[in-house]
Amino acid sequence: MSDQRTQGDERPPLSPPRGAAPQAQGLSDALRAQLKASLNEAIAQALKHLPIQRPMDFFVLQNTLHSFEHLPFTEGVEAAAELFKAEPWLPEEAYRRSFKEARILERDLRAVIAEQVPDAPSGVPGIDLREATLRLCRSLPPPDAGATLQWRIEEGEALKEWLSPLPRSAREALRDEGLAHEALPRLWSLAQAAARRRVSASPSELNGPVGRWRDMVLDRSQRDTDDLVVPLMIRWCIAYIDPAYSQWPMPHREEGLLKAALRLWTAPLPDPRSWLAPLRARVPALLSQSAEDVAAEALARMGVAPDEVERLIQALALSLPGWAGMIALLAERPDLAPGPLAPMSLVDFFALRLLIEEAATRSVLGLEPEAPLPPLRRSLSEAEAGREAGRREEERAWSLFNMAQIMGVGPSKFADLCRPLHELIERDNEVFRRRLWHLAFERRYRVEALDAFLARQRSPLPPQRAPWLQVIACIDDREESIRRHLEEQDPGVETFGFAGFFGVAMFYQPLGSPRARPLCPAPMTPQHWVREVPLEESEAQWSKDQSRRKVIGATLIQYAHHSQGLIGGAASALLGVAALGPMMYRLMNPRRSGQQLRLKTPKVRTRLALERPADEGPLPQAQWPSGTLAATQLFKGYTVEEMVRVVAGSLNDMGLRGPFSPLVFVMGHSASSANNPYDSDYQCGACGGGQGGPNARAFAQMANDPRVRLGLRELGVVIPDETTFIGGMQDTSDDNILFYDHELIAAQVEERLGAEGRARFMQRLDKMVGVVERARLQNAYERARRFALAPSDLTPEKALRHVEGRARDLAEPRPEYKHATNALHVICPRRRSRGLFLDRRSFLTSYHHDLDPSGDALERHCRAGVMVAAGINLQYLFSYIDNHRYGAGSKLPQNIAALVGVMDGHQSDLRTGLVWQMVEIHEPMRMLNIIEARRGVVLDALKRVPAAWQLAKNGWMQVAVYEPSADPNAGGAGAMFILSGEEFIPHTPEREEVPRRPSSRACFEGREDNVPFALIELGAPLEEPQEDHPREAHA
Amino acid sequence: MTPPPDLHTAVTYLGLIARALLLVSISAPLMSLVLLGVSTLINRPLPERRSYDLMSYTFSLSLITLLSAWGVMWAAGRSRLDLALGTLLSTSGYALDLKLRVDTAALTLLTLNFALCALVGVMAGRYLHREEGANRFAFMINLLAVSIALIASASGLDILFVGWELLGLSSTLLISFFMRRPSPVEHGLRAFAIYRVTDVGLLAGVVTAHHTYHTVNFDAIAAQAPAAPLALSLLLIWGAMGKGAMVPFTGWMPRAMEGPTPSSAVFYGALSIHASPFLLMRATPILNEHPAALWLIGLIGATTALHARMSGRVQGDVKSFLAYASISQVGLMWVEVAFGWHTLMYVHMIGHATLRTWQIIRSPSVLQERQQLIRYSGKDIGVRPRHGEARLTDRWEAAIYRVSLERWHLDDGLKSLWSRVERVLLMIDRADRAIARSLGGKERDL
Repeated sequence: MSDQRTQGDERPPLSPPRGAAPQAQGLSDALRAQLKASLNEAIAQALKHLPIQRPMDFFVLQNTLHSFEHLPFTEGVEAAAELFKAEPWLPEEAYRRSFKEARILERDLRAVIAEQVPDAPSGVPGIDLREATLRLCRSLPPPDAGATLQWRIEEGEALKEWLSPLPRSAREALRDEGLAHEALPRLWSLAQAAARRRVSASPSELNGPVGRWRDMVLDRSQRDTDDLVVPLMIRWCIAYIDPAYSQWPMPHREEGLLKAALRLWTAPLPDPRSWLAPLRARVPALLSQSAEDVAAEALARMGVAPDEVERLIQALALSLPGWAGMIALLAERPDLAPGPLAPMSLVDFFALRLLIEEAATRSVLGLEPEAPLPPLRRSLSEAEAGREAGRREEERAWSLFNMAQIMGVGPSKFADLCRPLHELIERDNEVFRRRLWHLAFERRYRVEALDAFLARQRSPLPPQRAPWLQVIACIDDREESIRRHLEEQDPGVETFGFAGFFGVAMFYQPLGSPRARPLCPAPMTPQHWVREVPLEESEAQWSKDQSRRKVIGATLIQYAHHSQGLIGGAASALLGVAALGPMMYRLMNPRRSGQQLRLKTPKVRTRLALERPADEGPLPQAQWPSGTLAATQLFKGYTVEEMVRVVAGSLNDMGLRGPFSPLVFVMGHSASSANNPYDSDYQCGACGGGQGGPNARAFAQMANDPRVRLGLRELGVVIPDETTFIGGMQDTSDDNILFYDHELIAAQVEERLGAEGRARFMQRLDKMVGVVERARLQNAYERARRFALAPSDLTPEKALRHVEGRARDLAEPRPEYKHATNALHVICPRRRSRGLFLDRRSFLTSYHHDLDPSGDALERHCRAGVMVAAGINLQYLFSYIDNHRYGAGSKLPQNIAALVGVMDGHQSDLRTGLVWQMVEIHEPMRMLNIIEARRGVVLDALKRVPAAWQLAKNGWMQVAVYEPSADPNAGGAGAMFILSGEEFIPHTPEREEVPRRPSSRACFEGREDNVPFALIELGAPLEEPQEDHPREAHA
Repeated sequence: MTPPPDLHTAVTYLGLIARALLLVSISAPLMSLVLLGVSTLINRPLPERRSYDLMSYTFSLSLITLLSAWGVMWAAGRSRLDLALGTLLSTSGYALDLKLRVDTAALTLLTLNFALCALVGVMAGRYLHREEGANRFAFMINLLAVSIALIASASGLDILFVGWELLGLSSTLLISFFMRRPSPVEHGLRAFAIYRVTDVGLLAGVVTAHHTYHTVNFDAIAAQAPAAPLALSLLLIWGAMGKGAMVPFTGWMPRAMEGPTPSSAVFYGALSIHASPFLLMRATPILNEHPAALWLIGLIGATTALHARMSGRVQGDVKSFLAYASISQVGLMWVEVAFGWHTLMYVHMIGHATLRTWQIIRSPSVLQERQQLIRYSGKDIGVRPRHGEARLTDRWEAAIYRVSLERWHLDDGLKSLWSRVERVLLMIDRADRAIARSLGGKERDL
């Protein structure tokens, strides 16, 4: 069995415990206070680096490395990689592949090197430092040591043939060195000798401090205390946190994690684990103490000095970051838990961990219960240190050997040029080269994006005339394609992008649900509670429906509970064959069955209870529905005045102040998926992981209200009577688009404009439905090109069927690719990006700088959309670069734990970040924001949002500013600037021409990979055709 | 009563047809297994899509031919067919006959096997799409189908043992499917170790049976059963305990939930764990001779059911919870076998296998289904009903809760037992080295 490492009596010789450690019995008050203070400080520090990921039902994307944002991007990434033992960048190999595919050009690499490497001689004649770096990036093989290296030398080609590819000049220089298989062995032995002279590692140098004893013990004895500690901690964490899943809640959990654990340990019945016995013996004494005291005492007993506490706590936190982070989050936001929680506290968590860690370490080291532990340092012996040094030496020799060839230095010249090569190694380590590659990769996309944007400005669109339909969609990159297709299907369609909650921050309670859910960006907390209620005429039907639902629901809940029990399980198993039916149907025909075999949402017609009388104050807390705990105060709906503010604010910020088209479609979005713990992650990020439809519906209802329009008129926003808003929701997964309340709205229109107006409205609605129908077919078609399982003879119709099936398929780990490939955020009026093929890679925020001289609207965009998009982008970036550390690994073996998170398989730390199935087609690069405004305004607006300014200044997102030329009739494009630190530098275009295509379809058809930018020829937006005007309404 | 000649011929023909159909049904997965394996071995692996198409077609073919064979058998009035396919190996006193016995029990298990494997194959084709090792997965599921087919239709303990071993192999390799992380490999190894330890019982049982009856064929044994020694029954029970995850070996089973969800579903919800009651049922003629053996089966089953129920009730993660739910039902099946309620056990097994597969397949849906159910019923699912624990005092509730959470310390017990065995082994190893040194041998570096 595999557990032999933790058992057995053999104890390795370890350095003796230090003598001067404080006596546990005579623990002085001063030391105790000092330890407690450093403990609290250490927990606060550790908290910074914990992944704060919300429970699965409220998943929101954010920067994985948020605690490093105060550092410049590259520095932060590399520091984090060291702390978390993660990969900072992709492997060099991946970038070299991109280089081969011309996704990175030599000029990008040169440009990046020019920024990062000084212009200095390298010491090798004829090659300056920059040239040397470029060569190394291109050709240096990965570092190697040990058996692999031995294999390369003995069995591989390393000593037989020159390295390949070599720069031409190097090849020529090496020609004088004779035959490869003669020169190379000599070069290798020279390199080895040179490495030996340079590298020396004494044990004292290697034996640095470690975070916790486990690292030290593992080094020495190959026995892992985590084998004892971690399963225990995870089991207790699950049992303790679990709000409602297990059938038997943990007793005493109301007393906190530590107390609950201690109480369980004092309970009768033996525990055969001998390593825990000393701890159990001590428990009665611990029960009366606070968690802080327990932890401080444990620290003192182990002989931890106050200045070591921080390192120890951090090491402990990072050994189970997911669970620690979840406890920290739930302590802050208990309202996000799926059921009743026990009190959450990180101090409890660490106190318990320290107790268990101590017991395990003592047992593995064979120490007495009161004896202090050995110092927290690695303790390698001479022999081990020698081995370590040998490894470093080999690595160095291998680098020298390859570098020499790349620089054209053969064995004859090696002795003279050894020193500069050594210096090069110290300067250009592998991480540095990968950084260069990464920046070059980002640069290529940035240059192409900016050039395409500028090219688009140089080729003006046909003159814009009044559109008949305006569509307001979320800024989400998934909406880019549907907006493009809507515009392409009918040139009379104009689209806008605004954060998908449309300014309506609310707690929303759908019909029938007992809970309300916040629908707004995660950092906000709504103050308004909006319910969905049945229309008066459907109330009777609803109450009948409801009583049926109650009975069926209760039966289903009972069934779910008992079918996994003993007797109930046996009883249901006797009839279990019946499960074969639904199972076969669901797996064989997901598209149909997914639609039919589900718990239906109420069929009755509903409306939103949106309005509150102007004089009604906040609700008393006793009347708040469940799920709204986080609110500071709660109002039941909006007053007319508040509605005016919401509508005016959103319209103003998206630059839609008229003229309004006769029909305005407000389109929220959601995404359906089956068998997917990450469901909420697929929904609208601007709605905090909820469905954006209700917000759109509420916005339309507000904007249609005549009193609101009156209020808007006073603010200078004139919505003509002819204009009607309608809400809807796009399902980004199955491309279904639904509309809300069209009958109610039609009735309103009739009131406002009479029967003829109503007829016109209905006609436009029909026309819109037609356009939407065509656009969603094209959208599904565009999306399906990424899915290898889509039928090979794809047509738009087949694509739609395919994505519908996907979204309902229990066997589908990728219902859609979500934000994968996101890279851009265009903050401009749509006319700047309209007709530009952005390949679903761009967030699109509508913003008119002309209407916003003060930059206030831009500031609000920075606060919401820009931050949300940058968070999404960075989480994708890191989840892709190191899917194991920063991401959540594969989705396939995942196991939902305590209803709040997922583990790998049977038991593991809670996995945070994104699963590989979501990010596999992503290209990690920082978000490039293109903002159209004056530079000064942008700087001001950014600086007013400290979080956004930090991201921009430190380069966690790229900011480019487009300043249009002063003369709008000049026809030429304006100027583009890129923010670098706190300064703007002008962008130098590299390419004038961008390919033109007749349609989106011509861009993407037949391609599975990312599609380069292209200009799409759009028809002229038509004015509303004459025959659309008063005509007999059809049925 | 002999049928009239023409009817007799018809029945003979029908028998032939049924045999042919059965042969196709059982050998098809074997063919596809060979195809998948060989193509990988010669470094020409089938494209992922092909592998899964092959798998679904194979199992559909098997299922259809099997059901047709069943129909034909029914028409011919036969409830059982024997397929003698020749002798694989023969030495003095023993011949390994490749002889299959297809009776109602076998037919039912085969149907379940092919149906579930077909479904899981269909599912995995999409679920494992683009996954590293998708072909490996297809191969393993195929191996599972073959091994269950062998177990179901084995005419004797020897063939059954072959199936039993293949089953253990595929199970182990699928637990450690994600071999780049340590814990799947560790848990695969744990399951493998427990399989090995208990398989020794089964192997010893086969040998003992042969020693006692000079045959391992079930029919032949049944004919001379009274001679059965108690030890044989105990060996067979021991052999069945590992794969059935009976106390004290339960611990590997929740840990086996490391593979992709479909494999967890089909192995530990459906096919693999039910092999143990099936084995017991096949061995009934032997077991029946000793009431003590039956008592033991009942006791083990009941203890396991209780253990799994108690441990299951405190599990806060979906897959462990389902694993324990499975184990508790298998425990009940052992009890049913002990009482001789074979038909009940059969219905129980088939129903349980289907239902549990369905539940495990949907285990990632727990959050979504919970939301839908809350929305549908208009009621928060938060407060849990209390059961027996409500009647306990605080102290005892805490104690029993803790013991359940620690899964009765079964694994800790096994671990300390193992460490003792290991110590002895290490001692032997040291002695061995010392002797080798004293004889002038060189210390070999491992």
